[in-house]
Amino acid sequence: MHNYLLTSIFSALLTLLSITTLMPYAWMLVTSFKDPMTIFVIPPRWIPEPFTLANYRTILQETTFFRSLLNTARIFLVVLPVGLFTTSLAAFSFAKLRFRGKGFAFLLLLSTMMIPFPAVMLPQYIFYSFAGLRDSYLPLILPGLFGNIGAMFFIVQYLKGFPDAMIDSAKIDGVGFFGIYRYIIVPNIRNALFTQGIFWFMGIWNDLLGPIIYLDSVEKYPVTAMLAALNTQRNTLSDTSVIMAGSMLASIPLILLYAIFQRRIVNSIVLTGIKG
Amino acid sequence: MAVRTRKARTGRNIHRTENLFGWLFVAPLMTQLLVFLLIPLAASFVISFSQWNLISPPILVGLRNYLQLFRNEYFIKAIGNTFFLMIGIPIGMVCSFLVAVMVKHRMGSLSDLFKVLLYLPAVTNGVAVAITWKWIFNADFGLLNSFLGWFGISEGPRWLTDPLWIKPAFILMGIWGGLGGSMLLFFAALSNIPEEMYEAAEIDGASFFQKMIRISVPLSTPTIFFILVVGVIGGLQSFGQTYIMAPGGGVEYSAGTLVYFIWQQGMEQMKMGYATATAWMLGLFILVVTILQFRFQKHWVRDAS
Repeated sequence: MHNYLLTSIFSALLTLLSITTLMPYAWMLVTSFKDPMTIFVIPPRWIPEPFTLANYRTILQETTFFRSLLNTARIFLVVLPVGLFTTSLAAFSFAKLRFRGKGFAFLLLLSTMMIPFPAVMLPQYIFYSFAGLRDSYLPLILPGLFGNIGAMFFIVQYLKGFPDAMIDSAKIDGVGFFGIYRYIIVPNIRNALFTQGIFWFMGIWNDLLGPIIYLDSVEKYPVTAMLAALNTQRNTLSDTSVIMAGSMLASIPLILLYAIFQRRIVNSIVLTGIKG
Repeated sequence: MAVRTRKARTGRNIHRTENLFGWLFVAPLMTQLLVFLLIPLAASFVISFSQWNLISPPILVGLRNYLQLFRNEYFIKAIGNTFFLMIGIPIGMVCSFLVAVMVKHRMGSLSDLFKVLLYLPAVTNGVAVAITWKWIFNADFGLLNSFLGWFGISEGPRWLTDPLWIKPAFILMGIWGGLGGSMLLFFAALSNIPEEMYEAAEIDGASFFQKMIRISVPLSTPTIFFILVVGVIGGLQSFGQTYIMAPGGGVEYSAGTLVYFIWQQGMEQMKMGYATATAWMLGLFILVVTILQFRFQKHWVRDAS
């Protein structure tokens, strides 16, 4: 009985909290449908009157926003396939192969996770400038092709429970190491790879600092940097509804992805939490 | 005899091949480490002792960048702001722990729904969210001040233009955005606590809050530690909020963070030596704070085993 009371209080509080969490998204959505002149109405209205799609038309036709979506695709379509391959190859090696200096190499990778991007971004910028690669996508693509340290750790953890006996018997049967990776490991880590791919995709989609440092021309900006640029260029209050339309467009793919794969994403956080 | 040596040799060959392939497979990631982390880190150390705008050749200036840094009021402010904003970490931690306890408490199928909803801010676009919050915080037409109006506060704070209120605004937004992630981690930790422990405590007549303080909290200390370490490393690198909501660093540089300062010095003013010196200070802060946290962990973090 006592517990029943507690449960109702908790569910009420959690409902309130969930509403608070969703509020900014709802406000983003509502504002994006408002006529720019009506956003100054006090108190703020939750029903856009008149309801208009003009802000979406503005953002898609008068800015290079649509192009920024293609620019983002240009980055992740190259990085993800290659990067997930190199990442999982390294994870397989660290989890299941014996080689000299493995412990040291692993520890080195682990300790460098503490190195902040801001500490290395300027030397990288200088290097790219002198290599003539400034304002190209290469600085945003190149590092990812070599893999992702965080995702590698996740897959190593995931592989820990995988039976060594299967790998050993494949070795005895004369299957090469790449064959073991290709035919035994990959089919078994598909789920982990997929989840890490989603996280990585979100990371690329949400990246701000990298693009604004390495790219000069706004037409080349990927979506998040583009949104930030619009926020700077159109900084009067009457542009708010247009910016909200852009924010909506930049958020919808992520929200959809999350809605489809929420169980996987949430479980993977819970799982790493247990392991971490 | 001959057979055995051949066998031993093939055995050694397999080890040699495994050694070779082992390294081959980790080679890309190790190359990344070397080319994109270690070499730039070493380069930035050298550059930090120079004056260099990338147009004229660099001039070695010794420790001057570092010495000037500590006389730069913006740098000092940036340190203060960055650490001030981290107040949000403990506050957020307490909130997310309580929320995890609530989500864990006989919510049935609702528990999954709450988890999914509360984690949403962690997966959506940070810039889009910051822009929306900028609009919510708007002093004249924003949602928040109109909400405060319901409670009789007719003149709400000028959140983003008042040096006194901008940091609380950032902290509020940070807690909103970070709650779900920490909550999930706490949820995982709580799920790992054997039910029998609570049952035993119930038999001894422990109340809900006693169980929480005596069982849930101590057994979640490894997670608290993890969130703290990751949160501080992330907090020291905060940049996006300032870039979106307080361009230029805000009134009186009230919202300028360390990374924002680095970005300004490096990318706006092209002072590469000065900016890399700041980046090294940032790296040093992260290193020292993280080492200290690991040092002190044995005094309060329960061994996970």
